[in-house]
Amino acid sequence: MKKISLVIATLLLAFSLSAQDQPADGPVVKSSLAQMLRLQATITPAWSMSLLTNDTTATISSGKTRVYIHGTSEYYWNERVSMRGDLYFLLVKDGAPGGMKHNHGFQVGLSYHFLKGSNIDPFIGVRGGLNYTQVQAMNLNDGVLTLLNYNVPAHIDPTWAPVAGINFYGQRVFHFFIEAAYMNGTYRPSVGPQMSLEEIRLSAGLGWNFSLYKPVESVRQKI
Amino acid sequence: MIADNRTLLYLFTQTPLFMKRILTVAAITLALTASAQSRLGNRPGGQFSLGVRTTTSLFSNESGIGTGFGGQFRLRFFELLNSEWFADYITSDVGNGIGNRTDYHIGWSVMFYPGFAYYQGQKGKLQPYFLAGHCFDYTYVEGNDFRENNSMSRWSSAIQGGLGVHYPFHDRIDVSLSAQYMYHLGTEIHPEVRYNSAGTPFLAFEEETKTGLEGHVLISCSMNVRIADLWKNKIKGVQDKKPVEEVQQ
Repeated sequence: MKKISLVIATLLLAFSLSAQDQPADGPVVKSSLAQMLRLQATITPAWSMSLLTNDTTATISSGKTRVYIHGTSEYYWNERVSMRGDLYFLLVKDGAPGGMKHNHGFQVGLSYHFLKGSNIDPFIGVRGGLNYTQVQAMNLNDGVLTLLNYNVPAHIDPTWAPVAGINFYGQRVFHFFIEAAYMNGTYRPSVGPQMSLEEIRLSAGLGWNFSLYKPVESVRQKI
Repeated sequence: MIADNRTLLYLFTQTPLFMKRILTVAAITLALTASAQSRLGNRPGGQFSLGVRTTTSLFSNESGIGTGFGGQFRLRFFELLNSEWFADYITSDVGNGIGNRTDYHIGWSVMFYPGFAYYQGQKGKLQPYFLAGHCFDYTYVEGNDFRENNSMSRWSSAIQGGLGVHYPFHDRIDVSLSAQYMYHLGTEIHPEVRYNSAGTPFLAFEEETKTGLEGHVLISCSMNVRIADLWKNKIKGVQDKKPVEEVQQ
């Protein structure tokens, strides 16, 4: 029984692979993600991880949920490796003293894709970049003096993040994606307490993809 | 000649042990590079790559682990000799949350691929290398309390050396990981943790006039894309090892 199942699975796999390679009528069809550019933008919720990592500055970040606009562009050098750039813009400010006022950044990195010639594209990657961060005015106290409503300055800090996700290519130029990034970094203002920028950012939505390989009209045209 | 021998003798008897080791490693590397160079030719010369990097700074005197971001370009001179020109922006903690240190690095490193472990950029093969270079840097340390005069900065120069490895994923791109030790040669910065009358810690600085050696380990992970071959076809007969007459025909 096991052998029969294996044979059937192998045959099915062989048929599906050979079907992928056959050209369709009209323009050349390429059933590969290589040389593909994809663009996507979405609204991304994020959860601060400061409380979970015993960070003493959690009084500022408070473990609150934040919301970002997240834009990505990614180029597939081949079916395994892609290069990507990401932009994050904090959408909802926290008006409380010491709450997050600005937290925008960019990151660039590489992704490794596990499957070749599949509509399902799971991947892992790592990105590095810079963040522009500022918190709302707050009271500063060193035990002797207290500054009321002090405007804590903004600061640019390096960040990095491991990322993992899955893309689903089921249509000609659109794809669905879901991914999570674990942001790492520390906000270090010249005056005021440091704050951990650790948070999990979850992004999902529809993206747009097109091939930069000339004879191909779209990457997944025949699907 | 006698003077040269005296100079060499002086170098090997009077310099500290670590300098001797550096000189020995450099001499061996150069010899290996030169011998392998004659065998392999210099075909990849002129390759130009652009890249980005994240850097982690460890074991600094008074600051904690630092994280950084930067960019670089690489210009390859010969098959076994590459160069890396980088800029880094690194921030780290000082005094367990009461101060910050910011380092700006701009510098270059020469990368030697040892002939005995050279894989000609084959995809999927780890390519080890030695690197050594020089760097200019600006360091700024500040306390994050609201007192005045709670910061200090310095310009300095540095030398660095270490080991690295490329992992070429693709014909044009590679991921590289390197670990190097960087010695800063300049005025020292020594912030002190003091306490105010309420027992709250803060950073205090005193003017330092003496110069000293201060170092830290830098671990960099970079992604590089080869975008050009700057002297391809310009030196025919040399680049591809064909006789000049044959190329002219």
